Amino acid sequence: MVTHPGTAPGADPLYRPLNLPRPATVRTDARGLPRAIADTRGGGAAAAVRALLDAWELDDEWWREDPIRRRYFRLLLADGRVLTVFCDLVGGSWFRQDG
Amino acid sequence: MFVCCLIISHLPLRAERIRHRLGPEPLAIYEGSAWRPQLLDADPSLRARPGITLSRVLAEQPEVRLLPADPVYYQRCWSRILDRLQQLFPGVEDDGPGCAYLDIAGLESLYGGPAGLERYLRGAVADDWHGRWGLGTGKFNARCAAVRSRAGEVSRAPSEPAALRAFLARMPATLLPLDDEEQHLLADFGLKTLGDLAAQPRAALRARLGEPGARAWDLSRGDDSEPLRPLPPAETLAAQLEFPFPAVSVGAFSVGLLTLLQRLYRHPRLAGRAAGHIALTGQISDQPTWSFAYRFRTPVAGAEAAHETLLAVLSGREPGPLGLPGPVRDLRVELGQLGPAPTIQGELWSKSRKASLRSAVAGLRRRLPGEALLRVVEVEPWSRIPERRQALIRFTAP
Repeated sequence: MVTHPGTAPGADPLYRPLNLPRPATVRTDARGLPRAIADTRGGGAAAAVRALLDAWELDDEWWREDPIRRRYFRLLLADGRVLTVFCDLVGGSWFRQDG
Repeated sequence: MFVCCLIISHLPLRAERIRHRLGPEPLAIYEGSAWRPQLLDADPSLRARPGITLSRVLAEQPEVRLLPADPVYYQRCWSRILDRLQQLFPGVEDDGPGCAYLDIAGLESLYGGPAGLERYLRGAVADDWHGRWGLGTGKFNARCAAVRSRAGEVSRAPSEPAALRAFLARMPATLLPLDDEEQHLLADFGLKTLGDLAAQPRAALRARLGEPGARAWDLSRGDDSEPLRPLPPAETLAAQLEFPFPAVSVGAFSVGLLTLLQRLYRHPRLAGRAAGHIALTGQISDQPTWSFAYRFRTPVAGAEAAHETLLAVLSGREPGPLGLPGPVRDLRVELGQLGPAPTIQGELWSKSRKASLRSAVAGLRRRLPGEALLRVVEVEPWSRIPERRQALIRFTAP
């Protein structure tokens, strides 16, 4: 028999969803808007947000045990990079993800 | 003959506790119609017997957590336990969900004595199942020993005849393989233990109960010559996948199915062979476990062909897409009736490009570590949730 590998959900080595959210460290202002992102390339200081390019909300699967409620922001950073992050409105954590 | 008996009491209860990762809270599982649900299984602490109505359970234990029965899932759990046992023991007899007999001849010396054998037995089934093990000279003796074991423990019935009779004498007569009517008759005569039964003349029991009575008498004295009837070697291959997210769409289900089929068809036991039968089971959110079985018209020798056939067959099913009653949390695929692949007429002119691609893929696989050759597939490209849109699965050459 080929036994179940016993891996955690989502960790199946032969079925890997693409573009999974990656945890991010985000500094926000009083209104909860992102103001700086920890430099994900390592070593440097947090990158300041120069402009909010876009914002949208995702509210899905509210009928399920684990509903999905996210607030996405597309950001222009001070160093010129464009980044998409979201705040998980259920758990309160921040993540990076290509929109 | 030295035999081991494994008993997993309250299999439905244990299965639900494992599935829902429940703590020690009181739990009851019910079945039957919505207007008259009945108890299937419950924590022993509730002192509720299977078959009583749910309203009676709730009247006595209002705090109990209730779950609907999922018989397909319980059978699936038991099948997986049997599969595992078949890997570890030379012979396994299935005596129904929750009870199996194992041929352990020679294993004691192989594992360095009694303590080594007991360790080996306890490691055969996960602790969460609270398996109870019994060893004895014969199936019934081993079963009596298992009944006396506590969860996770191994007990032995004595092999010396006088000690064995003394051991069995205290066991309840309800353990004997008799039907309800015969059990009632024993109870009416006040024969409550095997010792009570052994004290009677054999002829009297034969006269009253026929051959089962005579056999019950033999068993009550430790004379158990019934051979172990092992399951045939499992000529099946199974694999299971837990979806990263409950699969609500045909796309996600299809990718999961293909992934499992690719994994199974790569197994050495299927090399150059084909499968004639396939069984799918899946856990559905808030629903009993879904199952589907299909016999291929001609045995199928490749993952892609099996996948295509199954999707075509499932697409005509109701309710919902592919006959799935709700979002699928996990999927198990079992291939059976493994045999030689059907002969296919070869092509006169070989497809050299495909052949060279296959050769290149095989070469890369040999050189690259792990599963390095993958391809992107569309899962739910329309989804608003970005991580649901595409996935990587194994790349297979055409």
